[in-house]
Amino acid sequence: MLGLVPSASLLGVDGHAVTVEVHVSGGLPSFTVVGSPDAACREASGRVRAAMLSSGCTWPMHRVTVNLAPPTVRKIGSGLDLAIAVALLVASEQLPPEVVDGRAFLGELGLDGSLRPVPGTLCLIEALGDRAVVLPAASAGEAALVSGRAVHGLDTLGTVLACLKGDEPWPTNRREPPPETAIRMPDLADVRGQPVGRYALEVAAAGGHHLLMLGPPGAGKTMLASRLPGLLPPLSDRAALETTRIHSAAGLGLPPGGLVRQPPFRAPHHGASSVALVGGGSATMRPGEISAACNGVLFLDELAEFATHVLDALRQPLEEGVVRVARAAATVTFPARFLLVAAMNPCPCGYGSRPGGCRCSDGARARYQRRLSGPLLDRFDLRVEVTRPTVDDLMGHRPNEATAAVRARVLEARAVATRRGLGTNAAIPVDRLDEVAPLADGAADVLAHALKSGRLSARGLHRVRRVARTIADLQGAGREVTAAHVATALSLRSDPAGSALGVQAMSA
Amino acid sequence: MSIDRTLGFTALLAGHPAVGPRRLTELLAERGAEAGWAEVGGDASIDPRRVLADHRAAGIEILVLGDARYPERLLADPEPPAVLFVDGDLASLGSTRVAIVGTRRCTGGGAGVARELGRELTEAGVTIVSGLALGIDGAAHRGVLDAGGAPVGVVGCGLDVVYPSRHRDLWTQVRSTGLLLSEAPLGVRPAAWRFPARNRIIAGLADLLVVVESHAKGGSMHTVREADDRSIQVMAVPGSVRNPSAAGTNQLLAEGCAPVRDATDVLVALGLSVASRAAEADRRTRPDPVGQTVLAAFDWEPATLEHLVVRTGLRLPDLALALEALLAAGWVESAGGWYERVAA
Repeated sequence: MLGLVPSASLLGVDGHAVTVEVHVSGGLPSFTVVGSPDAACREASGRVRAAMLSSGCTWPMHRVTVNLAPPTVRKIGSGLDLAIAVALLVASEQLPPEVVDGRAFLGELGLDGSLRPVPGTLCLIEALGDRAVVLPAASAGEAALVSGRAVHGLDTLGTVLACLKGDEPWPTNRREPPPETAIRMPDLADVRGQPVGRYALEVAAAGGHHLLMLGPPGAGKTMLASRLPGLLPPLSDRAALETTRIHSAAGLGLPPGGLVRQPPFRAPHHGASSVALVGGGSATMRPGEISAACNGVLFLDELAEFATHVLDALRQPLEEGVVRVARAAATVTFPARFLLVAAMNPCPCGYGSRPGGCRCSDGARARYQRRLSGPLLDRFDLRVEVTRPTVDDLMGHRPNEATAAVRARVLEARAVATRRGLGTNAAIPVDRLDEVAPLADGAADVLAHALKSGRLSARGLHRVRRVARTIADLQGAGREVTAAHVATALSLRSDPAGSALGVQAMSA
Repeated sequence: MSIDRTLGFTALLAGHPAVGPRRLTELLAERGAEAGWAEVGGDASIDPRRVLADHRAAGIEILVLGDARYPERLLADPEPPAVLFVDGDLASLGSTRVAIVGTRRCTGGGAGVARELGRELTEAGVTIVSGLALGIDGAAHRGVLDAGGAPVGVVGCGLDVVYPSRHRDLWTQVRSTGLLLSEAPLGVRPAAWRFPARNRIIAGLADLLVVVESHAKGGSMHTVREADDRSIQVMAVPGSVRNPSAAGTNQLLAEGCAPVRDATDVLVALGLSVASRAAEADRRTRPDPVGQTVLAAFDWEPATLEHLVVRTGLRLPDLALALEALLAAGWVESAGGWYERVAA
């Protein structure tokens, strides 16, 4: 006898439709899974058997073959358990075949017959056409994000069977999404002192400029970076769905509403491997941290402690906004549009940029600096020196500007940039710069001097002009970029290589 | 044995990683060059004439102790180099020599002082000896070149091994206009022990040693000890007590060493006539009132943008614009996010 049940399997952030075919025939009792299952998927036999027995079903003492079609798609994880169980019940004539018509099944089974959620529910549902989806109750909220889809969230295999047989009514999961509870974000008002660091955050948020903070340990780099997501506008519907899909596929916890509305903030440890950062894994094809940070902020603390090849893997996604991960089994594209914020000490002792202040040997400094490739460093439009706040700053009660006030300016500036139709200011094409960021009298002189003195490279020139555009937008200035805007942009772009070579540059 | 063979073996011995200056002198005196080479286990298949030919082809003179052209001053040294490799004009050594040394990790202000001293002492007819290192050394050499003088550089590696490589241009200029000296033959990479050895030659060549900036511990302090051993006067440029790269020089001053405020102090110490130097008119354009506020906020210490924002209370765009103007006019220098006032 044959049982056919539709389900879906996750590869990267895309769901692929899978038909679970179960054949029960005479022969010695056995259970075989074919059709490119991974280890977790193949182990379904143990879970399905125990769950069926716990739910009062009979385990067929026959030869059972499970085929997961199409065999070209690799089936990863335990999400096909429920579909296998239902198909087996149909094949062993414990369920009439017509009850599965127009339905699809997702979920992992526990040995006690409970239904457990699987990562990537959102992506999986999209692959299931217009069928009604039976899935674990814990995933129902996430599933409801796909509009116009009948979704039945249930807790156990037993209740699934009862509903299928008509003994119990199908629960309707048309529940209203819970009110969007404002998630408490760290506030900029908590940051003491740091006028330049705060302003750099504002510019980064307004223009989408990547930011590098240099400074000694304890200067408050992490504290500043964690305030950046609060300055960004909430995610648009499209961006929210995109980020939610990635978080769902990566198995990250979703907010109560089910939809990721706040820009995510991801801060991987510097021991992260390149797979953890950009995604992949030979079998699972999980999205990495840079995709989890999609539409939000990726914060790399202790940038120079990351392995060089890990950092260089960031260059393509920074350029293209997606990361393509190719493995023998499959090639997957993950979205990866993020605002990169990094922090590092200028040298191993941490005091290196103050002229004459470093205690490191030349070799140690050179090795430290070599870890950052020039092309990566070049991606940072904003590079600021963060110093430790003074005791007065820390103990004083001078009120600092709160996130809400800064955010209002950021949103205003972003609106101005959006009206130009060129995306964020960081993405203004070079050939449009003269048109959207023309230089006022005097601004060109400032740039010319910076170029002549070697502080600014030709590549850096465009980046400074984009940052100047953002600064002008933040001030509500007109079409032209003035000398003050350009000078501010230049002052927010110190040369970290210069801190190691600073002495050299000065004596030259 | 021919002189060429002896010279070749001497060069080989001088480049042996396990043969320091003292051992070299001993070996040459007790064994002679060829037997010495065998004693240290040198490769017998190397042709000493070939080594010599390489040096001659590169235009490098080999002066052994006792050579007529050997620098007179070093003859009287307690530890004279047994052999010197010379590239350039020996006449550059002149009659009165001042060594200017200091830390590689100096402030922009320190480098500025070194360069100024190099230039003004050269103009007064003094020869400047230094070590071609990054920081103070390089700045001193550049000052000599500014004045059109002939710098003397003493280095710790082979004369074809440019170290530090960032000083390739400066290295070439010193060689072509002045003189490069080393105890090591061609091809010898810089080894840690060669730098203190090099420092003793710098001290030995000088009539007076000026330390511009030095950390509390550092190569410059070693040069100072070598100068003390040779009863050569040491002078130091005072620095801010908060400047870690002036801790060594300030310590020297506390111990009673004479301060250097400008080239005149050095010239007086040398007993040279001090031509009345007309104060050079400052060609920098005077800063505007905002610029003056910013300059005053430096307190003569390196500062970040953040320090300056807090001290001046200016808005960032105003401050940034003022800083750009000060940078353009040469009142301020910047490196790696730090700004430094360099002129009064």
